[in-house]
Amino acid sequence: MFKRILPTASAILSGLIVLGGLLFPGYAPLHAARLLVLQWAMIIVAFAFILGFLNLLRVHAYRVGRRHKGWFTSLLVIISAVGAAALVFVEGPTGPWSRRLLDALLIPGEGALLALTAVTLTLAAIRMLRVRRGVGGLLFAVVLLILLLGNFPYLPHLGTAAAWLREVPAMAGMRGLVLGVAIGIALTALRIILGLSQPHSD
Amino acid sequence: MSAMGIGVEMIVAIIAAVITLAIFSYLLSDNLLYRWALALLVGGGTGFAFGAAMHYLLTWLEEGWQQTSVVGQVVYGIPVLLGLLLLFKSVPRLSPLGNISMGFVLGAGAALALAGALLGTLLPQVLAMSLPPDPTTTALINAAIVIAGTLAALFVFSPMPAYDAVEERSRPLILWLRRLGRGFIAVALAVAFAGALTTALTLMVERLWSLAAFFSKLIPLLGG
Repeated sequence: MFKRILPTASAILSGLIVLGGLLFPGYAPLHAARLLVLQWAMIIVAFAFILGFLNLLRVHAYRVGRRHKGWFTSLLVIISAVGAAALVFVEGPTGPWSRRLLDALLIPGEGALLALTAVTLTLAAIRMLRVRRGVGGLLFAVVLLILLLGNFPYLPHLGTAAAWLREVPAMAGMRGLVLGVAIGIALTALRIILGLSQPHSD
Repeated sequence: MSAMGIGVEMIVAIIAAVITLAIFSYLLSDNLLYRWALALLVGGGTGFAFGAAMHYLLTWLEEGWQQTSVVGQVVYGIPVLLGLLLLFKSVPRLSPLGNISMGFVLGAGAALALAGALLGTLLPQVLAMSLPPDPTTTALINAAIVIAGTLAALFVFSPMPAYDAVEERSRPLILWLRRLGRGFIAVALAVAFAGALTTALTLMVERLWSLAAFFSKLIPLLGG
């Protein structure tokens, strides 16, 4: 009962209400019910955060307690997680100290990590060209070169070629990928709403 | 500014610079400084998200507490009950109780995803393949390439039985359509790669620029 029937019924009910509200926005009661269900889902997700956070602390506390390799790194995770959580919980995510936490740690740290991807992406491209020497790899490399060189204002012909590559063949390939992904998402979602697939009971 | 000449904003700038330098130290090798910076980032990010979620939850509970009508209390009480059931997921013997809440969230999420895929992706993308009102020859050729490329790229991922080499040779049209599709996908991935690389380089310049700005402020403070 708790393992299959009720969870599936709950998934079908919430799914049909949200879908109905989205497909028939003119019908006010359904629209209101959709908003309520989505708000409830957000509250439940907030409880899921508690689970995730406690699990993170449990895993790292275990490593600190047993003095596993890298225990000090785990201690830093615990201290920063508890400190940031307490700060944001007390004054909210838009409070002055929360903003300072963002400015001092999160924004520069995430920015620097993303900046590092410039190096890792270049290394990955070089490695790919070494391993994949087929037509696909060559096509990838030539297009990449045209796109990067096309940014220079001194090479107008390459700029025109880069614009055409972006607007025609790349658009076609990306549209094919996006349509394929969207069809996959729609089918999986439909299976959950109809109760044919029950990932919540696994 | 405090008596020592270093205010809160300067401390924020110092921490930001240290974190940036520690992460950039990965370019030399995978070192302890990089891992500590990463640990602070993971902990800080998780704590921030958790704190924000709890702040939102507390606001909701406060609003629920002020409800006097039965309907109002039910509206505020049901998600809290479902949320508490979800917490049983951490106890292996009682974890099936949390499945109801999981089902609720997954159902709502699946409906959003379905509507988003249909109304936000499939329909607009198909409509975008229509011809412009007054097409030139070049526009017609480009539109034909886009349509052919889209279909060929879709064909690469079509749920068909895997052909062995002999069977594929006996169906040359399928073979060539798939090859053509892979070519279009390679071009699309190259464009995405170039975009990601350009963004990462822009961020690298921004971080280096902020480091330079920080040191230009710090040196006069140190009396240099």
